[in-house]
Amino acid sequence: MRQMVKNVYMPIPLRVKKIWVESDDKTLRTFDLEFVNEADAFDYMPGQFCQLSIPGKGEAPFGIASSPTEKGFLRFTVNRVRVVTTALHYLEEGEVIGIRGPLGNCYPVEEFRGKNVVIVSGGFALTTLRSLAVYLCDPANRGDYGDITLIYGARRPGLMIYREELEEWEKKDDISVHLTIDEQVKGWDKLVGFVPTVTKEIAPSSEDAWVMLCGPPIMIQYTLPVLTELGFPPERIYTSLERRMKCGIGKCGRCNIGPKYVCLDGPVFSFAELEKIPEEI
Amino acid sequence: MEMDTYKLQKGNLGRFLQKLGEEFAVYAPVKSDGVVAFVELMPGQESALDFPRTHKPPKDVFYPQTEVMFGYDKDGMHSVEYKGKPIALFGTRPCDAKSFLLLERVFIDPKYEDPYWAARRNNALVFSLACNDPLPSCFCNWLDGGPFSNTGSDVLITDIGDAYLLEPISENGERFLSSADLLQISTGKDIEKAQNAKERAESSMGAPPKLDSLKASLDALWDSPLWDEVSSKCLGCAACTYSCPTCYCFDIQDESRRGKGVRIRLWDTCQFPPFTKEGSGHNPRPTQKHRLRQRFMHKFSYFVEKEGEFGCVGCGRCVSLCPVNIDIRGFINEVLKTAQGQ
Repeated sequence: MRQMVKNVYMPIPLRVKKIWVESDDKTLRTFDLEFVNEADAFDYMPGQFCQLSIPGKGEAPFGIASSPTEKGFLRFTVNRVRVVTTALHYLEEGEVIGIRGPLGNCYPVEEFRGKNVVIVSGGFALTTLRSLAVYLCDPANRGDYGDITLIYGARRPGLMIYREELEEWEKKDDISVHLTIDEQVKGWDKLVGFVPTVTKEIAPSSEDAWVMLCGPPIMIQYTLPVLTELGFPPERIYTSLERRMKCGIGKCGRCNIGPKYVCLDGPVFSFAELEKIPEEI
Repeated sequence: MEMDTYKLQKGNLGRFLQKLGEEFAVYAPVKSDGVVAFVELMPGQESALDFPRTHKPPKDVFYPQTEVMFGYDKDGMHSVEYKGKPIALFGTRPCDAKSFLLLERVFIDPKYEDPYWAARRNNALVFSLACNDPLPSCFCNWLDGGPFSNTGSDVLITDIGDAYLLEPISENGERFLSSADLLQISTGKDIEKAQNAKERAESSMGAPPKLDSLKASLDALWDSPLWDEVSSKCLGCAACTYSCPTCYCFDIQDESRRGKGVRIRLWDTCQFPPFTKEGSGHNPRPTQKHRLRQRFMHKFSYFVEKEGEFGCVGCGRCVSLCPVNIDIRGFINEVLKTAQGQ
């Protein structure tokens, strides 16, 4: 449906409800935001993104880290890089910013209904996959899916995002959580090793299973062959891509990879789709 | 029902445009400092219809090179959309008139409507001026166009010597012409003159190559050394994209001072490195080869895949304005030839 009435470039006001530092190097902060006007609240699905907007600084796209099953807030984790992300890091609770969204497609939760789901992630790419995990584990949805496995790695414990929550999930029996760091440090009693190696050791079954894979390019590069060896076809391995974006609605013309716009056709793609378009990653 | 065609004596052009200006904001070619460009016609200002092709296409009439999207201050954000009179674009060339239909597919797609484009474009009238003398760099006839094509026009104007023939193309065009002052119904002789001009212009252009296999050829040649060759002399100046009637890429920027400011959008170009450079410093199109390939592929492969037709109208501006003489027609021929040989 075309949005006829409202100006698609016009941000909607959001209030910063809560902010916390997410990583020990302080480059990552997580924001819980609430709509200033309840009537503006929108539905979304795991994997979609929004443009966060600070007047005078600009806009940038961020994957939604909260799940649509969590009511009353939208969550984003922001890596401080340049102008907009720095301005976001300087925000204080109670301040009002702008948002446009939800934009893009989502993880194919309908296609893998009834199947097993393996989530593989590294670094701060866990954001929209957190949304997915929370969505799948929600009591209203959990019965619709088979086993849910999460393999997540960070360089060191302090860079592991949503760590307290992940440790809570470790105690639950509706999701199997495997946390790993690159090298052993004092006090770490979980897995040690890179994500591809750990994935190989855990060896999730590819039978009736789908993989959602997001992380740094190098992690993806080495994890893909492991997944292929485990029997996952490219049609059942999905990832979420990032590109420099301005409009987020397929008009400004910069986020394309071949004929596909990351903002409109993505950000979620299967590797079967990606194999068909020219590689310019 | 066959619609009448009309005739406007050249001496009445000024008065006709003045009349048009009562209802519309009229944009027409005006000569200033030896350069013809489309500007909003002010009372008493004369339009020059004896130009071959403007350097800059008239796309900025509907899609300004820079425009304020909204302003903001401590009270919130205020959208700034065009609220002027409906626009009449007078004297655009047929290639440029067709470009509006291609741009429209982007700005008004099934999911999102661009309100800034729509505000100017809705209720606009496009008067195209047929090309009696196509330039050597013109290649509209390669792309389902022609010097007398009426695609995208409401009225097609032909210069028949001492007068202009005005042929209504759309219902809006007919509605306007049938009630306009200063026009006469054209005679058989007038129509014959226009027909002769059309035949002369079309035959002056030479036979176009068949482009049916162009998309497939380009897709197959993604890794070809052809890209290294064609891009090796490219300066990355982006004259091609800024002068292109179908290029639409834009940037969005904020300008602010003391708590108030504006968000603006401005034409951008895939030929400049920052276009795709990411916050991390990574650039998926790091060299001019990547960027030139993006431009050609976008027009002749990606746009075809998305919209079912080429994203080029063959206006020839990129051919004539390129400082190092990169000729997209030569490249297309090269691609077709190479793909055939494979």
